[in-house]
Amino acid sequence: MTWLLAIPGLPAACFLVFLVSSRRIRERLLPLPAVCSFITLGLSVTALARVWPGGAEEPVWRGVLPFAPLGDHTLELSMALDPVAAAMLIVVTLIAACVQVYSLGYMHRDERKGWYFGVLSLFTSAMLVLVLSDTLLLTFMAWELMGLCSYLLIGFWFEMEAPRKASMKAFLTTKVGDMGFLLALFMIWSTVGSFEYRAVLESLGEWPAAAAAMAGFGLVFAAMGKSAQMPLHVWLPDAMAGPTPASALIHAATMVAAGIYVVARMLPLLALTPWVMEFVLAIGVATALMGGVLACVQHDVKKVLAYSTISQLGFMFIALGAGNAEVALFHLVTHAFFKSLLFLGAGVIIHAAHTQDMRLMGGLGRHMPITAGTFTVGTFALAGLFPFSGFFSKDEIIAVLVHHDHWYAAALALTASFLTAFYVNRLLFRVFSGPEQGELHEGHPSMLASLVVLAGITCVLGFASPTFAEFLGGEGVWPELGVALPSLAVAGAGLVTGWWIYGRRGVVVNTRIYKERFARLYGVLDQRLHFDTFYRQMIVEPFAIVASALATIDRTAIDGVVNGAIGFWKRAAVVAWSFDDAAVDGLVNGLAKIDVSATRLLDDFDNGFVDGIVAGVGHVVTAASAVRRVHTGNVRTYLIGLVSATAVLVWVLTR
Amino acid sequence: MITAAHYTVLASGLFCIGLFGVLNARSALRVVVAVELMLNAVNLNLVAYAVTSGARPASALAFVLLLIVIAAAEVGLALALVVALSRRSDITAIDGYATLKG
Amino acid sequence: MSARDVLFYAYAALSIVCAVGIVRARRLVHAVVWLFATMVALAGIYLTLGSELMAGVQLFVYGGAVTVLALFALVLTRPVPELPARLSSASPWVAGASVLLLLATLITTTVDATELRAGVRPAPSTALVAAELFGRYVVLFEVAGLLLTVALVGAIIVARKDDAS
Repeated sequence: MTWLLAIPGLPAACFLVFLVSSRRIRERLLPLPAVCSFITLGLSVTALARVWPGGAEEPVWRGVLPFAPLGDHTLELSMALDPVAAAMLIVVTLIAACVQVYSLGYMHRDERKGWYFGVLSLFTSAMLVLVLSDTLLLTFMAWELMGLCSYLLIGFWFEMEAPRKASMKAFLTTKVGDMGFLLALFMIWSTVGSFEYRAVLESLGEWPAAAAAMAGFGLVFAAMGKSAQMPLHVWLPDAMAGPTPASALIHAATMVAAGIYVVARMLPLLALTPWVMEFVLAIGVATALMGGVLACVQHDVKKVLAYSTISQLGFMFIALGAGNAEVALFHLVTHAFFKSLLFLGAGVIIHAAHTQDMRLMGGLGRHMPITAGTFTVGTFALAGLFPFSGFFSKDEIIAVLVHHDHWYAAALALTASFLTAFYVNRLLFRVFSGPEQGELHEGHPSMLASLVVLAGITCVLGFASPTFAEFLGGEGVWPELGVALPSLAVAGAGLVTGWWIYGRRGVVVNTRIYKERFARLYGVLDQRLHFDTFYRQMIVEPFAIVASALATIDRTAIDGVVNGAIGFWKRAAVVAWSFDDAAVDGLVNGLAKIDVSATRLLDDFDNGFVDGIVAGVGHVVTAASAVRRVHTGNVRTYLIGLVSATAVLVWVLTR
Repeated sequence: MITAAHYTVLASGLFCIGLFGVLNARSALRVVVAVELMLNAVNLNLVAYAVTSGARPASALAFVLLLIVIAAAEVGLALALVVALSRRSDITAIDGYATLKG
Repeated sequence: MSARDVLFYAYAALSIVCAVGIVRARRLVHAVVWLFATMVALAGIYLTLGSELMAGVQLFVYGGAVTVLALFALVLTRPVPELPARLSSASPWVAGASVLLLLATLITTTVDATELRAGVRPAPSTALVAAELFGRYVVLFEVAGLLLTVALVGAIIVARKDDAS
């Protein structure tokens, strides 16, 4: 079954073709990624047929590439096809195919669409590798590659400031989480001596408690970054600055689900440590609630969807925290379909209305029946209404909570689903009813086709719920009335409230009364619960202050001693400037469009902090008379300090 | 008898001479030349280890060859940078580049 | 002392002398010539190790390519303007002291290490090395080739005359 390699291989090949070909050839080859994604979809269906009826312990196929021999061990990169992977393959390839087709219509006026399709293919390939990967090492590689693609796609319109900033933010925030992944990799390697999923899961009996806790927590932390869980969720709303179809694929359906997927596969390792599981549950509940609350006050259509994605990912975390990976994965699958449907629908709406602000929209329903219909299907699935897929998966999560006696969590999850239903109706009424805008037109046929396919899946997928659980080796059950009725009632209440506020009068509603009555609360919500402010004031600004203080000390105290320093300063500035101009600008011409403030911050960091450290080392090592020579900014003097310090260190360590 | 230690002492000497050259170079090009010397000292070390104590000498030599390739790439780039610097700012004096200064 | 030992000491002395020449040379051209001589001496050292492959590579890559490249770069750059001594902030004495410290540390640790008391075994034949390089490590080999290509393309882009200016 080596043909399975073609599943991630074809999109990667597409990327390579787009990378090396000229713009003219690229323009001609634009449908190539879409064709490839259909082939991969076909291959995935075949793969699923091979795995069917699932539940098997052993993977059907396994391919190993010895990667690096390291002493007694050999690092291997391996892929395996098991039921979980087969199910995810279908999800990823199907949504990727829809997004590729949709993008043909959505991006057809963009100048750099060749690059867009190339990166999208690369992303698809990375996600498929992650799904098929059988070692955590390969998973981590694909994970990082996806992070890169996400960065490139968020910053696709780098001429504008917001996407540039957002791409940096997304990259750095998820990088914070990736430290957790690295920690987990270290712990796993030192404990098991292998990165293979199966080897790790079979060795669970031998894990020391501390190592298991650290590895588990590391994985959870990584997933929190990638899957936008509180408090690392801040990048996802900003990531909406990228092209909408890319958001649908990456920031709704696949990449943000990668965290859930990896944690779900490693769940037995996490379960060794009860507090890690409780932590996952708590984070999930908090995120689900927070995402729901914040989605209610957004005006940008895509940001509403972004916060609802955060909230739904919180639901998946809840299921993981309750110890049920199959339920989490099922919600992942249903959510992937209906959320990408919603994002693609939002793309059509944004194209038609020429704005993302809901307050400027209205009356789109009459002119865009297909979009309105499919979008409504997606929102109802999101709200958890029968018979749409979201109902089944969300219901299962709450049933799991009830069965494990997590009553608080169940109550809070129900609150979150009330909020979901509320903002869903707010979205619907704001966009589709009310007074009409001028010239409105339905989207391009390729865009509508994708919407219809996804909506169809959303309508029927829920009924596959028991089959899905059994396929993954779990126990398939239909929703119980005792759980389903309250959750439906809560969703209904949310919808009615939404209608009461936004839909009742059939015109654009003025919510100013509410805003004024709850001014303080609204202010906090409007500032996204001050997460960004917190990070800025507690981390970024103190850092800058410390850095600039160090820089000032550097300047005043030390340079004051040096005779004739000012003259040198002027020279150095001129030379530094010309160096910047010549070498740095020349080298990074393309990359130089990096966020100015971050650069300045890094600059400060470099100037103040690193200089400080280097200088400190220099102080210790060189004789006192040489101190005034150390702070010249001259790389050579730093090198001398480094050499001396190395010599001393080697001496001390080998004695 | 000549042992591995002889070779490593020689390599240490060459490395330190190269390092001194780097530390005292006036021009960027001279830095590159001195760095080449340091690189060669390291290569000599590796080859000496390979033929005295290594378990798989052939593998070790293969890695030294790869190292030479990578070092060659580095030299090419470094020299290109030197040329670019001199072209754009008329200065190849290494002391001029003090952007690390606070 | 066998002939091999004599050769080793001769080449070692030669390489040290030439290396000092690199550092001491007043003019850059001389430094590059000294570099070439050092590389040739090092090729001799490799011969005393019994590795004619390494000696050959050393001559081709460092004696040939790198030296020529350095000479080209020398021709393409302008002469260095003499800077006032004040700017050269670290005196050679400080640098020399720290380097000597490092050298002392390195030599004492090397001499102390028992693993390094082993004599030199015959070097693996070129055929063996080739089998490793093109068998076990063929992927690494290809990647290194790719890296070299990318670096050279990058070097061309960096060193190219700027059309705009």
